[in-house]
Amino acid sequence: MRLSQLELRNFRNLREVQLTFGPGLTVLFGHNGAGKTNILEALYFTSTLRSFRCSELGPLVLRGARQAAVTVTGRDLQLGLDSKLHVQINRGERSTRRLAQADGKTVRSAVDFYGRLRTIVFTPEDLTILRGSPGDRRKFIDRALFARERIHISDIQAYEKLVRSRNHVLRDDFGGRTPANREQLLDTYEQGLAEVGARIWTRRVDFISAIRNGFQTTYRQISGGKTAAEVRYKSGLGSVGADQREAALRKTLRERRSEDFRRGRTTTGPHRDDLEVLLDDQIAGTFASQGQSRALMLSLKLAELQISQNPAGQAPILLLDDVSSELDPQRSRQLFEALQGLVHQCVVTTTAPHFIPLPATWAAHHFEISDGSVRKVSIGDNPK
Amino acid sequence: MRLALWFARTDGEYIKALASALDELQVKLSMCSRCCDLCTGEICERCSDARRDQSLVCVVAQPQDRIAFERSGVYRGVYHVLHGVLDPLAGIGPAELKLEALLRRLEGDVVTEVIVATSPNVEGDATALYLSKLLRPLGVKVTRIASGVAVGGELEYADMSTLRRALSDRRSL
Ligand SMILES: Nc1ncnc2c1ncn2[C@@H]1O[C@H](COP(=O)(O)OP(=O)(O)O)[C@@H](O)[C@H]1O
Ligand SMILES: [Mg+2]
Ligand SMILES: [Zn+2]
Repeated sequence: MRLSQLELRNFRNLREVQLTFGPGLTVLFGHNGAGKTNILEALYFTSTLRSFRCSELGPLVLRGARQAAVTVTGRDLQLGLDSKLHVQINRGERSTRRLAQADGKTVRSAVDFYGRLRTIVFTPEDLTILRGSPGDRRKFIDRALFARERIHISDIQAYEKLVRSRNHVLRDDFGGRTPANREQLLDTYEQGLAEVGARIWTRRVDFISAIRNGFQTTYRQISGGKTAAEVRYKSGLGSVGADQREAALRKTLRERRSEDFRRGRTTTGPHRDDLEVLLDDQIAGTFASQGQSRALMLSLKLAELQISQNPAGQAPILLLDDVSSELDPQRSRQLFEALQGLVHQCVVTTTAPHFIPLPATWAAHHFEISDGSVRKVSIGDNPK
Repeated sequence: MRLALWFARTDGEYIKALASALDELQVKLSMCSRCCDLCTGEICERCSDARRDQSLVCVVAQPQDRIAFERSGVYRGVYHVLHGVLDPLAGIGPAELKLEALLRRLEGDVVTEVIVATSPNVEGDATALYLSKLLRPLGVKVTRIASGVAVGGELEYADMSTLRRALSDRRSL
């Protein structure tokens, strides 16, 4: 969907605002705490029905108000039709509920609503993906996969339940205690784990090999091409051909049984895998500078964006929060040059408009955000 | 809450009578010694029905599942009620299911096929898999009911997990 308009009512500190979007770049500028990130959050929320900042919905409603509403108007280029997405957040006594509508029709399932407006967001907090735990990195891959293949989430949920079930059996956490029973029970859960685990493993490996090229190219463009970046999916079982994965998982689970029994948990499988991001053959999380880390994360997300083009050739909308604050002016310029070729619509926040270098061939619109209100400004005519 | 209010408004005699009726129900409802379904005697109607195919045993998790099959009238074999599904997270292992009674039924040569009719989810799948591992060595045929798109439903409204099942359980025409 190509974004044309966003209307907000009582969303965070934005009481009543309206923004129109064109192709190319939309720059939101303003002081700290003005409400710039809140606008990106509203777009992301319309895309995924969740926030990238908090897990509850309550904080999204203007303090003191009972209801917030977000309306996005856009054009579905595949169908050639205009489309309207509307989400209300109602703060009740005990819980906060959302109501999502697409073209006037209520959509109950979040999975169904998800991705009608496709976005990819980059925020300063994304650095935790490189520096955090393997679990943070797996989550990055799994989110990206979910956006492409909805079935991935049900596999992840089933797999996690199977791991916990096997762990309970290992620890004899319940009635069935005779050893014969336990071996047969472990056989049962291992067969399930191998089947679902192999599907997850294969999807992740395929995803990483699909983004690898774009990741390296984009990193070279942003960084100016001195250091080599690499991305790899790291399985505890090493590299195994796709048709061998289920058998390999089953065999390893079987072999590790006595070890796992001692530890009381399942020590092998996709729930222990990692995404390795390397810079000059060093693990980026501990090696890369702040600016390099930022460029690496941006390259990962832009590579994801590149492979997310739909059949109509449309990529998701890129939301960049405070991106220029830690890239030097040259890296920043190279980033926006690279974006021009990849992205159709990009919304970016900054404290001052001159931090965002405007590529020659890209249209740009500017909005000044101050204290929850929005004013469209024309930067060419009205230099700040 | 509503029940408590009702008790508060009703006189003591009535409540006593009700309590003893409930008590009687509890005593009368026992478990069929063969299939573990709820019944009022020693052996349930289905297990003692000579017109039913006693060589075909449909394994279900709960009495409600058996009732659903019976209501449909499509099945003429007998049942076995497990009273649960494998779920280590809820503390339910093989010992918590009515498996010994099932194994006893298979000792003779009467039963030739066991149809596992558990739900298509993690617990139901594990139960079915475990049963097949347990029963196959005994020389009995073990099958699982198919799952997939609802008959009479629209394909476009089926969720993705259902569609995947429907595809992987497809059969040739
Ligand atoms: N539910 C809410 N009601 C009112 N104001 C809020 C709410 N949530 C956040 N804010 C305010 O929004 C501001 C932060 O907006 P944000 O978009 O993060 O700023 P920035 O422009 O720096 O990105 C803060 O001043 C905060 O107090
Ligand atoms: Mg901000
Ligand atoms: Zn019976």
